[in-house]
Amino acid sequence: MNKMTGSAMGEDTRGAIQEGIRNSAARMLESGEIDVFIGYEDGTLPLRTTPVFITRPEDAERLVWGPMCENNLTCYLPKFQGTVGVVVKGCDVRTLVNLILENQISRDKVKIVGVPCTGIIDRDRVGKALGTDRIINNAKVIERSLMLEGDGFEVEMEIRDVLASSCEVCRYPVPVVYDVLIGDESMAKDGKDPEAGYLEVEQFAELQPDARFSFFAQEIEGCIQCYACRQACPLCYCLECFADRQSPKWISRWRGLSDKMLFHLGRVLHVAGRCVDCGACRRACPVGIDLRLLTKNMEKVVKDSFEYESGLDIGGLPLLATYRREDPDDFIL
Amino acid sequence: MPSMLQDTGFDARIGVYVCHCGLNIAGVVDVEAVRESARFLEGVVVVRDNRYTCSEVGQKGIADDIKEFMLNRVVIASCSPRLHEKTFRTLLEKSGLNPHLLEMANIREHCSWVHYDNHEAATEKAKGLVHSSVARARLLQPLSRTKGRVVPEVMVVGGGVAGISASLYLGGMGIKTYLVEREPSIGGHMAMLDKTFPTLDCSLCILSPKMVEVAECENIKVLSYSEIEKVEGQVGDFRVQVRRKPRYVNEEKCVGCGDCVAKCPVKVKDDFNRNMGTRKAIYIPFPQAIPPAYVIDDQNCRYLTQGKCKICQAVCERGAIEYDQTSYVETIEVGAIIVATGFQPYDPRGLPQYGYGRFPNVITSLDFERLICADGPTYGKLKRPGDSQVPKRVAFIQCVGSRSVASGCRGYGLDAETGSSVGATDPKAYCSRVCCMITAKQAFMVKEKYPDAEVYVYYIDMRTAGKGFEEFYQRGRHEGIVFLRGKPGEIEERDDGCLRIISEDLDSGCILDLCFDMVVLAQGLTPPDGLVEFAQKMNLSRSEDGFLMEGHPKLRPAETAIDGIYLAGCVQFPKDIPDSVAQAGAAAAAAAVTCSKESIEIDPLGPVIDEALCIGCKLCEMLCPYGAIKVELTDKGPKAKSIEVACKGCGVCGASCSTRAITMKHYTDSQLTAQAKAILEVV
Ligand SMILES: Cc1cc2nc3c(=O)[nH]c(=O)nc-3n(C[C@H](O)[C@H](O)[C@H](O)COP(=O)(O)OP(=O)(O)OC[C@H]3O[C@@H](n4cnc5c(N)ncnc54)[C@H](O)[C@@H]3O)c2cc1C
Ligand code: SF4
Ligand code: SF4
Ligand code: SF4
Ligand code: SF4
Repeated sequence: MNKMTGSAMGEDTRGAIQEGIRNSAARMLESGEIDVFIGYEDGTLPLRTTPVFITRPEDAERLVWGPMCENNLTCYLPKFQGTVGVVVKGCDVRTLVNLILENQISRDKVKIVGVPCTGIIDRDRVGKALGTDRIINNAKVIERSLMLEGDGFEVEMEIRDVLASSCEVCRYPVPVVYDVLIGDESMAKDGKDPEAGYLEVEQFAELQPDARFSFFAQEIEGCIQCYACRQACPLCYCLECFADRQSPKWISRWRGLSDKMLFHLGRVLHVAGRCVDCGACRRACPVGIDLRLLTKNMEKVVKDSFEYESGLDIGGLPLLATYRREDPDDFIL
Repeated sequence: MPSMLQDTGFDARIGVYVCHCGLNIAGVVDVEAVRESARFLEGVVVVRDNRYTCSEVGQKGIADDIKEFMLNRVVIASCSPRLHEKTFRTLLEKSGLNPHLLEMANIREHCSWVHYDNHEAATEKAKGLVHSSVARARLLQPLSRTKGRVVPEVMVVGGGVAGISASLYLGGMGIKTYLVEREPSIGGHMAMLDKTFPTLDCSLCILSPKMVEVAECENIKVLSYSEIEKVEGQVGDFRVQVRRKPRYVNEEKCVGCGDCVAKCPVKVKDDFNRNMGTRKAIYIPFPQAIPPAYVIDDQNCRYLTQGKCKICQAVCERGAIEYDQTSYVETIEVGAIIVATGFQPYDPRGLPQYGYGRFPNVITSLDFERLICADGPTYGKLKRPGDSQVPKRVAFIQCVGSRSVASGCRGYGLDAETGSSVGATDPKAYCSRVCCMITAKQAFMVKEKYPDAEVYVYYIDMRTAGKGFEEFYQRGRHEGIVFLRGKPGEIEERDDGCLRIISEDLDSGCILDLCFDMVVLAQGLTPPDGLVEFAQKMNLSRSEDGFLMEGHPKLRPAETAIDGIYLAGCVQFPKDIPDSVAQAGAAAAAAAVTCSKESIEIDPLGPVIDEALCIGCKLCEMLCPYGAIKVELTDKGPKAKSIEVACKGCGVCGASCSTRAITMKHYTDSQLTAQAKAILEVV
């Protein structure tokens, strides 16, 4: 097969990467280098994978790889004592870097198996493209497409048309840090438009304040305060989240819109200078709130104001631990 | 003994005292109205107004109320806590209350003084501040002060005449003193001067006995060729890391015979002689240097740069040469520090119109001192650098680099872009205070040595305030020195090497066109090299002019805002030798007071860390400017721990903690929110 350049990869490459992940996991477990390996296995529903924690080399066979591997697995790392192996995509490894900088894990306690990423799919988009009333029984990745089968239909879809929004504008698909890199760096680069990354937030910022507020209110109204976004975020590791505090009780779960807004504004401020736009929160949201509009804007503010992109420099300092005289301060009231 | 009541803050019994401060407050703020507005606030049991709360009578009234009404919180609405917080805390303590149960509302600086033109608004604001203080007072907690130890030793940084004098005062009091000097010898600028105004004594003749006294005093240890690397701790208990640079000559073994110098093959420009003469790579800055040991200049030594030579080692009979010396850091514990790092003369290359650096016969006043000095490069003969001729016509130009806002730099001494110190070449706005007298002295010395020489002084104003100064200046006029009011715009060099100055004589209105053989620029005094970084290490503030800021411009001129750190000499502002010595005495006395204490009470401010919330992210550790909070591994994971003795209570950690695991003592979130809420309710 030719070198892959599409936004998705073919069966062979995907298979080879999957094989590579299984081999690395088995090898590291066998040699005792790691105590547990975190990866993905097939989920119980089509188009789904689920995190799996492998401790015996022979179980490495359960590991899979593909555009359905959507979770950011680094969120489990602070919970382990021993040495952990983990599969990461380009965005995941940046949260991992942040966890190291923030003293939540140490570099020597994690073996990073990086995969140059071609993007993952957004199931909501697949659903929309297909029509929401059609139930998928079986899904397969073939070359750069998805084959979806249901009762009485069989549809082929280009993966590039149903990519997660964060993947479409991903700037760092190749992991910036790794112990093992599985796959070819060159295949990750194509088919994406990082320059367009901030288009959406820029357009949004041009609206009148009223319009922005009512859009925001409308989006947030649907929040059921399950805090799945928080759970999915590797950087939300506080022992007691401000949203759960009883004294002072910042946020109530029954008062309605203002509490929901406060939660989301609080959440996005807490990941300021840390969020890497991996999109995990967006995908975790069961009601499909476009949380990326908030996080992406915060990322832009940080980049514009401090020339800082989070999670790229393992030898650096967290943004909030740095100060330069020329730092802008006009946003401080 | 704090009672239960105090501890819980449950049943707050608050007394509110509104001060008139004579008419300072009462002239603007309606004191009675403020008093009445506080009467029915929750927890308030008594309200009063006083003409002067800080007076005996005022204080006694509060003490009586504390007894009679069983007060457990006191709110005083008066001046800034910077002025009287200590007074009132002591009062509370004497009356059996914990001193931290006091809250002050500053209705003078914040109300009557700033809003003198709007009595009504000032009164409303005063009410708001008093209400907010009452709200905070309800939640105040008693705090116990810890005692810190006092190391009865002092470090003096900078070995100019100020540092030398301070060390001698301290040593004389029996206080062990470390004198840290950056250069190979102590002495500073005074060692470079020929004579001193207004008495014209020979500078080194009066300085070197003092230097010898330093060397002989058993309480003083001179750490020459050394610099401060890091300062930790607080008043009474500083830990200073001093970097000792290698001399490559063993100070103990060297007897200063000079055999090495004769044989050393490397000749370089002599910086002590303002680059006008030469010295060898192994040298002693001047014959009277203390310590009297030689030093190898490692930038120029042939062995240290090229690996070949070792001649000095071969000739030194005492085996004092040690090429393998390296720099090392020594940690010294002291109770107080005196900063006496002096000044740096203004570099006139910043004013290219005067041609310094381009025209050989344009020199500075410090160059002049070396040229006229018997120990200088010309053995005291005033030879102009261009052609070694003795000048017949000499001009002095005043205020070079001083009293100038021309180039837009107002003497901040800080580069707006980089924050680093502006080069010594940016003119300053202030008057350097000594250069008028320096010129009066130098002009006089020219006349004294060469009575036929014509001497002109171009000035803006002659500032000769000081004992005997005006008399000295008048004497110069009588000797025939011509003083011309009007600062020249430019110096031109003619083909024959003479210097042409066209200027306006403001007294006669005439345009003067004169030629000189030599021009001396009366350079101003600027903050010493590296002061920005030095001040950062010590956490000291600098004033707008770039010099170190004193504790109070009138009442604490030798102190700084940091307890236990004092100032002497030109590092605070340009001054002459007698003033430097006087300030050194004041700084030494202040340091001695600190050292005479058995222990020092440390304000119990700082972080309280809730381990259940701390996630050990180290943000506080990375941000604390004093290294006073550290994340340690506990059985519950990494947790922040406060190092109380090092903490200055700045609050950075509390503000930075993303999980709100840190509460600042005496400034708790609940206290501050209550305060803010109360203000908002009034407005
Ligand atoms: C040309 C000229 C002529 C003058 N003539 C007279 C006169 O006739 N009469 C008179 O009263 N005054 C005169 N003065 C003023 C006089 O020189 C000063 O008042 C006096 O030198 C101030 O002493 P000082 O100790 O404060 O500073 P300095 O003499 O500057 O001494 C400071 C010392 O600190 C050291 N130092 C600096 N930074 C550090 C550091 N980071 N760490 C360790 N050490 C450091 C320096 O090496 C220096 O030894 C004259 C000044 C000039 C420029
Ligand atoms: S939302 Fe903020 S406070 Fe809460 S766990 Fe996440 S980062 Fe911590
Ligand atoms: S906030 Fe969302 S996008 Fe940002 S790092 Fe967390 S999960 Fe990823
Ligand atoms: S002392 Fe005299 S020469 Fe120096 S700056 Fe002041 S006025 Fe000018
Ligand atoms: S208050 Fe916090 S940041 Fe400030 S000195 Fe103390 S420990 Fe350090």
